Amino acid sequence: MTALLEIRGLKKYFGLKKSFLQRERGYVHALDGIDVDLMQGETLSVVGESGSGKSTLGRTIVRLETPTEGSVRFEGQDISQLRGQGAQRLRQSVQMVFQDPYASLNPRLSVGHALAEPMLVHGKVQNRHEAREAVSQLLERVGLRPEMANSYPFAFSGGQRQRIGIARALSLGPKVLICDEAVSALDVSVQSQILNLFNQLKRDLGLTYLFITHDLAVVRYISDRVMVMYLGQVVELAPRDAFFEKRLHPYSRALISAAPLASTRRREPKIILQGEIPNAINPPSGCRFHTRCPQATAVCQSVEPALREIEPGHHVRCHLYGPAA
Amino acid sequence: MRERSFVQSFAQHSLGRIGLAGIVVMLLFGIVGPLLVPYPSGYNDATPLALPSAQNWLGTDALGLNLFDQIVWGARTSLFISVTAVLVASGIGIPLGLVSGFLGGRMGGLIDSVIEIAMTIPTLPLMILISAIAGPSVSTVAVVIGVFSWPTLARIVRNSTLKLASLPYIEAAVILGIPRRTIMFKHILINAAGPALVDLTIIMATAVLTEAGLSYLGLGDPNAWSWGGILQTAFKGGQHFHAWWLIVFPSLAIMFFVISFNLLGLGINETLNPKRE
Amino acid sequence: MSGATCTGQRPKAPSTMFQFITLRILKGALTFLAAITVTFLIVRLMPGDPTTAFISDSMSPQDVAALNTLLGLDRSLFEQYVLFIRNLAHLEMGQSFFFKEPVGAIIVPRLGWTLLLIGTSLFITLLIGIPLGVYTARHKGQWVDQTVSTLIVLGISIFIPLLAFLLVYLFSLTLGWTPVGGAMTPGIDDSEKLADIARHMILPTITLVIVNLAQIVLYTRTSMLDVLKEDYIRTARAKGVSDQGVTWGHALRNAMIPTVTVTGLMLGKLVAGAVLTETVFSWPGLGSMIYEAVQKQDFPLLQGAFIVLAFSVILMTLVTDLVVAWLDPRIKLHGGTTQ
Repeated sequence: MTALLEIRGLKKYFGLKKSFLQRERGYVHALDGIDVDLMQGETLSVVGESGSGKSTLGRTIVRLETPTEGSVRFEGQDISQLRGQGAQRLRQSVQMVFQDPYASLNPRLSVGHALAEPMLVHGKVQNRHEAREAVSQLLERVGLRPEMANSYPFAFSGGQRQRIGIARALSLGPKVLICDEAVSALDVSVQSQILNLFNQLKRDLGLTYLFITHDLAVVRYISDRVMVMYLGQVVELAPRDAFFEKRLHPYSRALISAAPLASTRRREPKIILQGEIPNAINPPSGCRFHTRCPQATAVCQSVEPALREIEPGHHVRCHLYGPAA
Repeated sequence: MRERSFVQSFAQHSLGRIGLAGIVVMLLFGIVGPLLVPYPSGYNDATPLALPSAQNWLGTDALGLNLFDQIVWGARTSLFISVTAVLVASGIGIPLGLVSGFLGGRMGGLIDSVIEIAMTIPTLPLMILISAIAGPSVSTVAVVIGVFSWPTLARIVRNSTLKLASLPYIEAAVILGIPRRTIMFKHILINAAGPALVDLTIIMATAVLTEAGLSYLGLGDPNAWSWGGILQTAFKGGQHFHAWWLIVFPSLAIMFFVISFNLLGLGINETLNPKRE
Repeated sequence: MSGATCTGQRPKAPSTMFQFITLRILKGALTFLAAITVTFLIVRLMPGDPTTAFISDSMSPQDVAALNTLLGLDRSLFEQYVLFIRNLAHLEMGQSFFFKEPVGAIIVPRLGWTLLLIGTSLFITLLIGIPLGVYTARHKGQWVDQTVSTLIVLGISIFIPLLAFLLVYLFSLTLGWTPVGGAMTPGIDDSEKLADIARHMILPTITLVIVNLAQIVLYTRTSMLDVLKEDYIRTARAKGVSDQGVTWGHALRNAMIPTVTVTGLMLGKLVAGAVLTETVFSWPGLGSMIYEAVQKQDFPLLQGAFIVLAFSVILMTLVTDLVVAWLDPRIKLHGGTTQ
């Protein structure tokens, strides 16, 4: 199995500037050292609260943000070094599906236009005739009718718009799709339809997904692997079943217990975390989770734990599992 | 079903419709008119300063020239000026607004500062200076008005662009590798067009008023028929006290033109931001 | 102050305000520099011999020579520019063709008249316009609002010389209530001077007020409508503040901000209106002086008038910006207008 994406030591800090003249007063540590590989054909879910940096991770991979430190490699090439033709080729390989179906489509462009444009720009089709053909195929693939190409976004429901967004992301024949909360804004019934669509597309087209979400039910449904983020760091990374059964990290445990998951046989007491997620401008010392962790010890306050592979394929960042314990 | 088409909503709004109707009338006068109506010139047998009558619908001026004809040809001048001004202002203002709003950062801030500086300079005195030195001509006036109108337009476009640039569908366009120029001039512009259009109507209305003002000050083009010019001749020649039609009709023409465009602008504005509580 | 909490999260308000004022003044100075540079370029780069802009046939050879040295008309453009700036710093703007006197001396008294006219009309416009805008916003849709809205459309479309002419025709010629033009009646007693000037000022002021009232009311009404919808108004109402209190207290202060802003933006239009108004009424201000200078092709005077006007407008805009900053606490914190 090859790694399509290799992320090493990725950091992204946003500077806080009050005005043109003032110097930066502190940084938001959105991403603070991410190491992970995205393997071909897998669906890797990235879970976390808002402020965990999961969206920033996705945005950095598609180059909406530039890394402050560290690297992102796609098929071996450093993406931040790509320019011109190389950058365009990357665009064809890595695409994004957005969260808000009501804001992710240009209201003044017809569906057909929005889908055809990228193909024309990248030379995937040569003329309008070919474009129309390709657009029809795309629409059918996502479960819509080809006639819909003539309509405008306002005529469609949220679920339909999301399908259009997916079609658009697929128009260049990508290998990797970054799904940024792609089902979070949909009704539950529609959510399952779209998730099934994702699975089907993955089978048919051999796609690889990076699925960003905060909803553990979704994670359970579609993931191969799960990655939990907290305050810009990876705190747990494991195959799905191992993750849900073992729940090594205290934060993961809290997340799972809070999620309305149908199949928990044991009725566990809900773990309610104290306090709110700390400020990303000034992360807590030592283990970033120690301020809210029910199992924090003295060492957690002073020493930052490293991400360790406890079992094959299962990584945790927690003193409970390390040699320091 | 959230959005009706813009045209549909606009058609509901009576102010806008009145404005549009007025503009159509103006267009008829200005474009078709000169084809049907003789160019007022030369000497003819008509009595000077004649009252409006069946022969001369709006009367005649001191040279015996038919006022109605003058007004029709003046309409063409007004249209020319306002359209030219709009083209010049858009040609400068829209790209600058888009670029400064979309690219942001230092460049965007710099352009914005330029806009702000350009906006503060009082324009009429400068226009007077230019006209006085360059010599009066319709094209000069039109271009100058356009050149002085671009900052406000650029500001408006920039503000819209700033709001739009962070929307997901614009980010999607970036990720899809759509070239930046296309994003700005297609994706963003078609959504930013609304407020810009309102400003364009204002520019057109102001252009005619400004030209009239300049003509009144004696800086108008003596070779072109313009409503302001008619007024200026009348005032200067002291005819305004007895030949009321020489004042009333050109002024009405000016007001009609200006009000039509202002109404159109207000109509577009209302359609964009319906204020129903 | 910054030692203890070095997280850098809270901005220091005083230094921000100071920075803001400094920045703003700098911007004003830059604007003025831009304005006079444009003037400089226009006069010298226009088609035709640039020297005709400064030297007329009626000057003696000595005058011509002196002017040449003063303005450096025989040197390079850049040198002329430097000379131009230096002269300006000494308030030297060349010599009027017609009056054969330094431009500066001619302009200053006329500037006073213009400021009087503009200042008074602006004051009255705001005095009437703001309450009117507030009232129509609160009673939106009712007949007062509809009438005023119609008048607004008329107001922004008015052609000044026409309005001025109508007023003169009606009040001066037909009714004889007001003088036809000028600022003073010649030969009048000192004791009656003030009243005399006031009488002469009535029609021009009315003209300017009518023209600008429409803009002000439109803006105040619009911003008042926006503000009335904001959440914090609902909060204030919930707190039990009376309706009047809500309107005049919370809402007005924040609705004032766009109004003051638009006043600043309108200064340019105000000046344009003044030019036309003064010309019609023969009001001895800078506006009518521009008209006369145009008629007589007196370029140094024209240029000087523009420079002085530009300076005044830029200064007034600067003042309004600072007033807005004082009214709007957000600007102090963020160091600049957010929109």
